[in-house]
Amino acid sequence: MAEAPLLLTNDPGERDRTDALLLGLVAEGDREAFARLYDRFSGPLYGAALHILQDAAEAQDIVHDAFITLWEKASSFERSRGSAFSWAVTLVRNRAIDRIRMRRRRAELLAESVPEDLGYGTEGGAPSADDAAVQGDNARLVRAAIADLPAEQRRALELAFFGGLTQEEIARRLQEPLGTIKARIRRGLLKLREALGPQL
Amino acid sequence: MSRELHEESSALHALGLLAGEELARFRRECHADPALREMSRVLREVTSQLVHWAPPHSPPEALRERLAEGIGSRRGPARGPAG
Repeated sequence: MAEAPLLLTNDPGERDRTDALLLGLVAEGDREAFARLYDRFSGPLYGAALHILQDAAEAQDIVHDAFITLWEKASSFERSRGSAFSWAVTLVRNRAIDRIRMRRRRAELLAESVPEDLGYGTEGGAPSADDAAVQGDNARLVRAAIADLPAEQRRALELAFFGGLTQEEIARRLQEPLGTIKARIRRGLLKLREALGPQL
Repeated sequence: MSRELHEESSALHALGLLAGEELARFRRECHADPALREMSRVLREVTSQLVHWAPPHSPPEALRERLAEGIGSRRGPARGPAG
């Protein structure tokens, strides 16, 4: 791998720059950079895929396919349009949501396939690599910010992000008008933006 | 469009909750409005952080090996525009 300042830092701006640098190296075919990116991203991506799908084999397939896409399309990444991490999250989440929607259509088991409440603040297993430790610090900050949201905003965001429900389905599930759900989602994300900092 | 509506559309878009005409309209407005594009970008970044809400799990080592094999059997990363 080319000499590069791959810093272990919890500063989001620095972290994003390092991720973008690694992705640039991946675009050159650098396998070591790809491995570093895997170390940095795979924990949160796999955790989210597992939470959405509730199936380890499917979650592994999704994460595998997303990383293959990162490998094949790294050269198309444009940092001005968003961070490398955001791109990776989108790849994983879109695939996972597509799968649960397919399951629901097939089995018509909407109610059973949405995850239960997340248990805010619950700690899971520890990430293993140094890069994952950096992600771990960030994860704690994010969880604290989410815990500060009003419960109704958290629930709407949870159903949208992990449940893969549409606006209308969330409104039906929570028995609230559609406008109320839209407002909760808007306020929730804006509060998170404030809490997570102007560097986003 | 008011700021509040911009924020709402950007938030819904970031979560993949816009579809059909709502999505098409949002994309047209983003194309024409740099401030809306920036709002959309920021809220997509915020939304991506929601992955940390899920309990962390390390993927099995077999996945790393499978990926190493996967990229080994492929040519180098593709060049040119996104597909």
